[in-house]
Amino acid sequence: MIMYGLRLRHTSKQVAELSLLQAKLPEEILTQILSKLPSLSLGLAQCVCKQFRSLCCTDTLWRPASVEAFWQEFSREAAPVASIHALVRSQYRGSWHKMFMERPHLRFDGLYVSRNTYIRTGLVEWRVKNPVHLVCYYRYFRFFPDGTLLYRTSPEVPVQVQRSMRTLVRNRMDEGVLRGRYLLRKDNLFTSLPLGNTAGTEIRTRLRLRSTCRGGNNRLDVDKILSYDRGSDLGVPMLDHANGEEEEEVGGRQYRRGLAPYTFVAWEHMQDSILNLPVHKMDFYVAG
Amino acid sequence: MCSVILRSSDGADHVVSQEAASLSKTVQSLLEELEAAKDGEESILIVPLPNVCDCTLRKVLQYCIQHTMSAQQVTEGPTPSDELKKREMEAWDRDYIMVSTDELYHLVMAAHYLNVPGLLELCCEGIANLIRGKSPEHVRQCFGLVKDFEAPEEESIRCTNLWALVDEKEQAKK
Repeated sequence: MIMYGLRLRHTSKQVAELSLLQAKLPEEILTQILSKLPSLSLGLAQCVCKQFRSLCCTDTLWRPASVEAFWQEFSREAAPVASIHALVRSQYRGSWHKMFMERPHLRFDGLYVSRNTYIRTGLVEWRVKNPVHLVCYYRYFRFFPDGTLLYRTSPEVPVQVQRSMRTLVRNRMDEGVLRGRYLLRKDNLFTSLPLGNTAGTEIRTRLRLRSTCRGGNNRLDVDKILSYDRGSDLGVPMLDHANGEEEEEVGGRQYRRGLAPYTFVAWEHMQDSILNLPVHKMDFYVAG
Repeated sequence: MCSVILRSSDGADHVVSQEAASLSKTVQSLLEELEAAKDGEESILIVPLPNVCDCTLRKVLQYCIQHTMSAQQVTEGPTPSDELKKREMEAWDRDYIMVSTDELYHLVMAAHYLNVPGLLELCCEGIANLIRGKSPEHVRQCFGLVKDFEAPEEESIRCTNLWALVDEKEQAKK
């Protein structure tokens, strides 16, 4: 049978799973399909076969992801997109793919998870047993391209919290999801979270973005967590002006707990991430 | 409203409004040619489409008719429910694209040949949804593709794309 100018064979029962979609799809259509994919799926598709690999390397496919990834960095400038274009030309030989892989950027397609465990001594009864509890809780960061972030501290595992942190649309204060801002300068990440309580507490975190593999951007090391009671004093500068180098303000309380590094888990991998394991299966998790 | 007949490769005729048929740029240009060549007596134009089989054409027309209908509704009066209609249309599109991969293949090729931009877009979206978030092995299965890398090449590709695969590796360690 000849259709669409191609010779097609009817799929017999034997090769039923060899669908027509395979090699018969012209490359221009395949490229159009691939252009609909997010960066993570593009990376995965590269590992499928030679044809997919060469198609996925089409540089323009990486343009939207790169612009999204670096928009916040240039958001202060008059024309952020133009600045990104200038950067890719000057530093990355005009390759969007190269820029996406090599320049540190936050990932927006999942959660950064910090799994913290500590030991708490239990109540001693009759001096027979000396119970200790292994307590586990998580800190979650979810970043958005526009400089907004969602934060949550929770004893629940990633699979259970992911729904509440997927979108910005609804205000999820009742679920303990806080909304703040972030700034990324090179690999230094600054976050600011107003708690929304009467004392006007603001929590600032300094983190460092790191990769365990090329283009990973999958670890956040906690440098410092500080909290400030602002009261109703709105004169205190929020994160806005900071170019990241601001001096430490006085009066901050520093946190000493829950400083475990954050690991990135993409939505697609959330279901089978090892971070979901309960304490009796995995006591301490050390992010590599 | 003027009607036209579209004739599929197996010779079946479909009567549709000219507007719906004009969503296909290919049919539209064919119609213009036929219009110019016609000698005035025939009232209904017949467009032969030897490249499209009957069931695919039926599906394509379903799309064209639905979309012209909704477009008319919109132009009749800009009601406050425009947003709602748009959402309805999107829901309809989502339902519409829920077909087997083979059908999807025929549909995308037909959309390409008939040059219906909206439908082509929709089909690409549909196929992209089959790939999205799936592991390479899964994609291969889904499309019946063969892994044609040699071992060292595969290793290097896995290495460069570790950022996307990373969790898989952690799974392997476990």
